[in-house]
Amino acid sequence: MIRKYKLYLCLIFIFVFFISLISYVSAFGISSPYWNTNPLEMRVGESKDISFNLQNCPALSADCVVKDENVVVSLQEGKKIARITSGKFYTIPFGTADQFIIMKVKIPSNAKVGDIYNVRFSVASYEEAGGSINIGVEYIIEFPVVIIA
Amino acid sequence: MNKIKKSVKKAGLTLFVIMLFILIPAISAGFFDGFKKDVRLAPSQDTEVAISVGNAAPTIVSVGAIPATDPLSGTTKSITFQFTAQDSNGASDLNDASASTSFAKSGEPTRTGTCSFVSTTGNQKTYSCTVTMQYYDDNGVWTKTVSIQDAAAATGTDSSTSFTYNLLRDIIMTPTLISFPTTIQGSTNLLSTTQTSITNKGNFNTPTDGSVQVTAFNLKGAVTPAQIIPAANFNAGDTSATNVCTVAGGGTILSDGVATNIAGAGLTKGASGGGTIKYCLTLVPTGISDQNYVANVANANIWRVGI
Repeated sequence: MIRKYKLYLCLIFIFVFFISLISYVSAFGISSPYWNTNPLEMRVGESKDISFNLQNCPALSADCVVKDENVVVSLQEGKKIARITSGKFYTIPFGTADQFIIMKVKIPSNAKVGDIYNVRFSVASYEEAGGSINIGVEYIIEFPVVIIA
Repeated sequence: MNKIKKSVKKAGLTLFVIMLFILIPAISAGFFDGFKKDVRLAPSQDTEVAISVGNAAPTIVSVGAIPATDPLSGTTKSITFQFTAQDSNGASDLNDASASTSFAKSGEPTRTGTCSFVSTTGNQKTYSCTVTMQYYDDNGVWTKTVSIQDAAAATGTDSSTSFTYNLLRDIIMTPTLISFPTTIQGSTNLLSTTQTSITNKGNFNTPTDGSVQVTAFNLKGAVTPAQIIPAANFNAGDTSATNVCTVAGGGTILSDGVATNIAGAGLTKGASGGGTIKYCLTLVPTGISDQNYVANVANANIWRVGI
């Protein structure tokens, strides 16, 4: 019996992998005034600040985990005309919807009417938790900037 | 001769007097009015005037602007604005109880609101209206309609203004643990024992607004990080995949550090909107040691599910 048990342990420790994906309930959101079919229209030389609303379960619904959310913002495309001015890291308190990511968009003076720039950035949650394999939420916000007369 | 002349003069005078007696009453009675071309009444002359005045329908003078509005995750959003109506019969002719508003967008349920009286200025009245939008109402341009009736039930309506309802990305992922069964090197096509359930708390939906994406990273050995299980050895798919372990069966091969669109993965919006992602480990590499393989903050390889 003991021999059989040892064999079992041996199988566990020698041949067996335990792969687990440990995720946490993520409940943050981001609202965008522009998207693929709703471009931001700007003029040559114009500068504009755009706000993206961050939310963390403002309805306080039962399916949310009561905790603040840590998120990181990364501008991936459109760095020629856009930059995040409100910072890279955010903590969104539980039950709120009053925090914003601010993006400054400035159209260069050598841009031409009809030019289209693409802006793309990610907002991802990160968790300083232990565990084997963590999984988080990532939103990709992407929209065109169209130069108008 | 003179006598004859005198008689003729006398007869003429008599005739003149007789004509005078005949003409004066005739003129006074308006006997010759039919021959007159221009008739002008003396300023002091009395006359009767009868004018028929009809009811004038109300008109909408102005409708307040609504800035682009963010939906509120998992709940409703109240949107308030004002409009002003005018009635040439007087502001009191406007029926306050009939003031109404609605927001409409093609393919979406119309959201009706309520309006209440705010103030009166001259023959105009201003009303404050509130419409409640759902978090899953479609992003895009919504048409505002306001209307009001007067006491005679004549209606004034305006649908010339609109506002933008923003796009809210907001998902909740559960459960907290997704695992694969225990296995050995060289094993193939292991399905995850749990799936990622996604609840949609926003108005993003596929494929209109984009795709469900999974960003996988190579799993690193907890003891020997140089040993890995490549992200490309994992497939992901939604519940419509007949065999997530194969591309033909609806699975999508993941890639290290790349946000990969999951083919066919749907994310619906609505009160019960959401989706499900399941995973398959298509091959456990040979030549790796016995240890846990992890993705975590320390190894900077957390997997991500996103939209």
